[in-house]
Amino acid sequence: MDLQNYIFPPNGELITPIENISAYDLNAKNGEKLSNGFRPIAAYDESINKFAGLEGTSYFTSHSIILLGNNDFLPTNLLTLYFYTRSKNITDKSSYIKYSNDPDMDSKKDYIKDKINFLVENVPPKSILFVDGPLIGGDVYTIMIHAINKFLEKDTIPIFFVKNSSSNLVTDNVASLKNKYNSDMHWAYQFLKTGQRTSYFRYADKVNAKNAKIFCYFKSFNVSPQRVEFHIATFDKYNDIIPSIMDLIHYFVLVQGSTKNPQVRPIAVAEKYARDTLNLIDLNKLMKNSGIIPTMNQERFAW
Amino acid sequence: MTWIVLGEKNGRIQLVSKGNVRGLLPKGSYLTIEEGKTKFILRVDESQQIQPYSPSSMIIDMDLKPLQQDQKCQNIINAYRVKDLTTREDGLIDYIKPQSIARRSNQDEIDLAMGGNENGPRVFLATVHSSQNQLLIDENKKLITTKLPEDMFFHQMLVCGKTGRGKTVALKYLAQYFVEQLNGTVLAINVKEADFLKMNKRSLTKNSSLLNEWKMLGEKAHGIDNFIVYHPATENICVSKGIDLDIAKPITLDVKDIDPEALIGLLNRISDIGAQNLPNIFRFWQELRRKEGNGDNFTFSNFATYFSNAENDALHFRTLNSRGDESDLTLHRGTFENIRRCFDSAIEFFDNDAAECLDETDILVTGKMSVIDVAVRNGSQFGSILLRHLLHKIVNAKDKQISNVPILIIIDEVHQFYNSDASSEALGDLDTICRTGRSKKIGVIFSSQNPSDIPRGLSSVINSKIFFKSDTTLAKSHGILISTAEMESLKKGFAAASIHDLPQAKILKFPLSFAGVFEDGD
Repeated sequence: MDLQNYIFPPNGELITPIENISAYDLNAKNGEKLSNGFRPIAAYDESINKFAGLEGTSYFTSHSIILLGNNDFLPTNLLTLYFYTRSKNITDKSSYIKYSNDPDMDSKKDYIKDKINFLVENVPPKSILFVDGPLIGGDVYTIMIHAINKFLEKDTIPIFFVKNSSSNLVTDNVASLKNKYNSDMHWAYQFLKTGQRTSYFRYADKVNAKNAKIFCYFKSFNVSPQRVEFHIATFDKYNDIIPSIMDLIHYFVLVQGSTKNPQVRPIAVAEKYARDTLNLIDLNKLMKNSGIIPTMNQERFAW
Repeated sequence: MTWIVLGEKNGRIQLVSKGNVRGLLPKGSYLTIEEGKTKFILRVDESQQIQPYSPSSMIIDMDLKPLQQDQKCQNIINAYRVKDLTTREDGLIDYIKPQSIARRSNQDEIDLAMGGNENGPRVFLATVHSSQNQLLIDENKKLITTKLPEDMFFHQMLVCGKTGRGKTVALKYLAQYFVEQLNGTVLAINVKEADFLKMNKRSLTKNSSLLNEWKMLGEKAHGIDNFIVYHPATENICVSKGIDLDIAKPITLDVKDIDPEALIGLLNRISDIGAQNLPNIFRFWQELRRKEGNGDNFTFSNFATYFSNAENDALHFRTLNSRGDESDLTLHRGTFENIRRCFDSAIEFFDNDAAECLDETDILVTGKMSVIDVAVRNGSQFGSILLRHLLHKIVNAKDKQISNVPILIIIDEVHQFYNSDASSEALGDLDTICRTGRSKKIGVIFSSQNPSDIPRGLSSVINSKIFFKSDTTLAKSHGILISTAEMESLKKGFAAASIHDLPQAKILKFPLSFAGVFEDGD
């Protein structure tokens, strides 16, 4: 789901790198040790089906949390189905159907709220939580901050991952890199060897410096790097174990072992459960059986 | 331990293990699904592991430890439904619904699946999976058994296997059951060493698993009470084979009483038609001597001389067939010479005053096991004649209803007594027994290392086949469905089987016979 309009913090600017701009080695062996017994480890991913009909649009989402149990991954899934329409005639018939002038935007808001609430309610305390997707700002900024606070109260360490991004927070703001790279990812790919991360950068609200995220890029395989994001409160609180957590992240990407899909392994497993549970219901069939007429594109390309 | 039904595919029920199952359920195991009052019993036909998370091997290649969670395995099973216990009366068959729960079947359920034989020799149900033999157990780790139907004895059996794989031990077990539980009588031909000669003695073993099997069956080692070894009077087997004096009985063949057809057993490498001449020549001579009443000239040696003298008469013979018709024939020189040569080695088995002649009344005794030891010099010729003679007498006694004692005849290495390509005429009474054994309560077990040794004409009337480790191709040709790898991995005592009226029993393990088996080191 494209969340370009939900950049965190909403009114941010890159203030400064918080350590020397350099490449730092990650230690997979150390990560391996931490994978068992250090802290409970949870991961989140989601999968979404969309059905565009003449009467409106429906979104069927599977939110998936994986907890690393003793001998197995323990899944928890939340399935949501929303139907958005601009037709008052339709919304008048059922309270379950949502009126929306902008179904695309409203669906994202509902998705983000569901995701955050689901995480807050189901992630165990004292755990490390890997979340596929960025720290979220925009209209749901306050919900996000509330969630971060909840996690920190529970001694849970939320860490966010961005795999695909054309943002240039670093390359636009670091003078020596300006206009040399297409994006931060482009820079990081060339800057890093495999098994390395960049220095951490702070991206903060122009007015309130406490509303900030700390991020870095890392490269476990010789493919496009990923960005890891921490809320500044998380980074500050767990500053001493952040280096170990980065080693753990590197180990988990190696465990995943796929250069085509180089994710943190628990997130990849959460994704499998999200996809499988989404298949429990055939949205296309459900909508058609409900008398919703698919748009031409829905018929040709689905979603 | 439970498995979940996924659905049906190609006529087989697919199941997947729940998290509490820590291993593969071996092929051949039984599962029960309960739905209200209905029960379904399934037999596992395929059992494999799947890895739901399909982890990459890259991490191991990097000398890093894998995630334990990634190493989760599940057991995927394909199973046949073998028994539905249902009260349904509308003529339809119940669905086995997806997500139904299956568990390992218990002994009672397996008995039902097997057809619920109330009597019969108990054997252990077993599996062969990934080159490993295992006995089936229930949830309480109790061994699962089944009873082989008693009727199988009278539908003829074939037991095959390489030396030392458990063939003879299984035969002893079946023989002991027949004698002790079926109140029948057993006639066994011992063709090598002392295989069947010590059935009066209890078996000895220190093998804990074998002892556990006996315990589970509620049995103890014990010998057969009424047990006699008959042997040619020319050999003293008590000394050479360590047989107890009181159970060994020397026997001879009586030319006055011998069935002329039995003499065919003497002949080797003679065509069936050529061989058929000898009984008629002998019958004529036998009748002649009876009429003369001359005891001195009524010996096999005298017949051999009579036969040889035909050389002076252009090999011309008078004959008498079984209907009493006299005739003449002239033997081909080759046939004549061949028969004459066979007489030389046979003479010693006849007319020995120090020994008794064996007849059907010695054999057809309730609860008795008789063994004829032919594992001696020229023993196969002696056995060939005696076996034919006895079979003829036994069939006669049964036909005339003189005896109704069930009899089991165990013929090891049958090709030593009957040619593999013998015609039904040459097989004589053996052919009759195999085809009509059920009504007469006569059963035959053929035992051999090579199933192609069995006379071709009899293969079609053998209804139960038990193959210990042997050649897979030959086993398959006898309808045993087993792969080469599975056959090769059959351990001692385990056998692949196709049992009359017990189609579900595929892999069996015979308990150690209670008598006559002495394990190494005991």
